[in-house]
Amino acid sequence: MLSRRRLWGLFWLVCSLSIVGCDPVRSTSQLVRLQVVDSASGQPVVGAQVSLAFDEAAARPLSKETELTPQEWKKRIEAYQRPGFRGVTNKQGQAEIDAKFTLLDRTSGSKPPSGKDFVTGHPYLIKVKAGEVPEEETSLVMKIGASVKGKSFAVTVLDIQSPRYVETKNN
Amino acid sequence: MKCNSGNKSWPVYGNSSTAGLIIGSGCVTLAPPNVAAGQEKIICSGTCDEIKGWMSAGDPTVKLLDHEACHACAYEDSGKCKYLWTWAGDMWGYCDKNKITSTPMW
Repeated sequence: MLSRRRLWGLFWLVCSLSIVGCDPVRSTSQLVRLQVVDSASGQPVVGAQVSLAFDEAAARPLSKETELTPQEWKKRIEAYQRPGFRGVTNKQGQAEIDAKFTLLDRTSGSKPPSGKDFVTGHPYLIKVKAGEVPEEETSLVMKIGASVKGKSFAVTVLDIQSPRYVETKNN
Repeated sequence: MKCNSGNKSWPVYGNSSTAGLIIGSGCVTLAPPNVAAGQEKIICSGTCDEIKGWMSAGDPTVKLLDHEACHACAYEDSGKCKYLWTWAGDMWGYCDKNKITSTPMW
């Protein structure tokens, strides 16, 4: 027989969990197409490995920090900086990269509501590695037509597709 | 997490089958009266690595763990009534607007 206290706890658990209390997530995917060319010759770079990662430090710069000390800021940036989404350039020097995000979402529709585009207008670190050339990292605010020129490679954003829902991997 | 009452640390459990059962995919912040005092925790269905990449709605600099920290700090700062209130408040995005800066320690 359950004690009155346990029953009260169970009541609260069921009520609060069933009303709102949980924070469900859903995953979205956005295809991003990049053009990679040789900085000097302007020729397409074929077979380059390209990675695209949200630039935590640029998005939340220390210069604008109001809540964290420099040490705390550094720790947070390092903890949240994610490995990049990856792609390889084709014969035209273009790479298609599937940017997947998992975020708090209480909606149940088939299309993500507005405000779920986590690529357009946000800073990203772009790493390019081709052949014997050392890997090059640049930062770029992602917009169609935006480009950045590094020492070895120049990268242009050709397309950013709208987000679409994909299945959330559940462990 | 930086609560009003100071820096606090709560355990976060990834791969939680309980979270999976309750919510499918996502996280739940548990404090009294939902768990016993001293058993406060955040449970998530994703792996420890995955959940660091999960975001709150709207701004990619705001992480889902910042959102969970809002629920947790409500309990730390003001007790279980405020904690439960944040859950109801989420119907109009309370913890999105009042996110708490958090840093995973793993």
